[in-house]
Amino acid sequence: MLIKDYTYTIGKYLPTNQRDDIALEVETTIYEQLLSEYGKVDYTEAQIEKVIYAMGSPKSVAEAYMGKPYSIISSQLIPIYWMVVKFSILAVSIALAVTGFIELAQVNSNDYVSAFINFLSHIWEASLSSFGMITIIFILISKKVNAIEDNDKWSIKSLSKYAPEKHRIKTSHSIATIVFTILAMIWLNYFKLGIYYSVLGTVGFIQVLNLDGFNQILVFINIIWGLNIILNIYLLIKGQWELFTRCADIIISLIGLGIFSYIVFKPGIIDYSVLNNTNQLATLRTITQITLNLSVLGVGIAVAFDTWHHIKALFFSTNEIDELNQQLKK
Amino acid sequence: MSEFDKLLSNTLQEMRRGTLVLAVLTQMDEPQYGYSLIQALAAYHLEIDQNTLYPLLRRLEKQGLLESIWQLEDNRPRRYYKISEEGIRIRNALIIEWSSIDNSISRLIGKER
Repeated sequence: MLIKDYTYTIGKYLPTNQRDDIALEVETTIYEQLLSEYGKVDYTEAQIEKVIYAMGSPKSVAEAYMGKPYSIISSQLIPIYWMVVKFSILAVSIALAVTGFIELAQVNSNDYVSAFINFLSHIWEASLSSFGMITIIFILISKKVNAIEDNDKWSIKSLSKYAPEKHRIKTSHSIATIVFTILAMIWLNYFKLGIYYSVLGTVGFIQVLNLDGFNQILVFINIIWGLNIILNIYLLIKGQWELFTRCADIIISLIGLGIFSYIVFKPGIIDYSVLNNTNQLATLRTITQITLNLSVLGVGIAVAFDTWHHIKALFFSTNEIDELNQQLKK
Repeated sequence: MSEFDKLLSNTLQEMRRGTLVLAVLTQMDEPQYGYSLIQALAAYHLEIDQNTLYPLLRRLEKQGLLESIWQLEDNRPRRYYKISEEGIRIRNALIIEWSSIDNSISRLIGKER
């Protein structure tokens, strides 16, 4: 398992399409070295450690294969960094573009050019800010990662634990979660908690949430969504589920479900007065309430399913899960 | 390590690096795996470490100078490399160039002395 941990950690510094091949080659090299030094025996952990240390830190081995110099953002993090930058800028641009187009629709034709320039500059500023913040965050994370992994200072203890395929995260899922959470935060905080609509060329706005009631819990929603974003960035970096991240995901999901239920069921938060001017008020209100109740149920089922998936992965045995649990206990 | 030793070590490394490709190609007529190649070169007093050799072998294969296959021996996979037709042509050209460089350097050193 130590050799697997070593080659798995080397793989984190390599492009996906070369990982498996180089990992196998490194593993073969280690066994050749062990055979040469100790003959054909059952190798002890100390013997394996000695050979691994002689090969060098995972980062230096990967860099030897890639022939690339050190970069300010750790090579391990660069693929994730570019993914997060691209999708965050995309999310921010989409959100600002939507509100920008709606505001442009309400502007007088005389002011259209200046409004359009304003709209473009907002997108540019927000994109630059997002890019700058994400870059600084990743540089700071890299300093920690690089400090541990300099060739003279690395140790066996700093190796990433080999994770079977089953426990590795789906990158697309984490990125989608980050993007949609950012979009949801922008909608909730900047769109006045409402919905824009367009009827016969006239743009209007419906306030769906009662600000007095909702403002009290808005801060909790922002905290939970912020934690969700941080968790998914952490998962992207780690590349695998751990006990702590599974528990964090369960807790965040349950709190999120609790907040959503509170919004739906607590009187005075959802503003049904928007329906007052419509016919069939009672019917519409009933339909709306049933839809919201079913949404809570749907989210509850999704949370229950995710929670069960985590619990099954943590406590119910397969060979791979047993291996992972033993590693977690060490 | 003193500054002189560091500088000497770096300079020697640079000098040796230039000879590695030819040295490796001369040993690849028969299939070799990484470790056997290290030993073969060591027999001619050419020391090369794994982190230099294995990436070099991959690069030479990518360039078409070597071919490789994985073979299973004692339940362990082992990657064997062998020189390709293109590699033989390159090797022959390098040998001619090496003779010319050797000649020039010998005369330069002789002149320096």
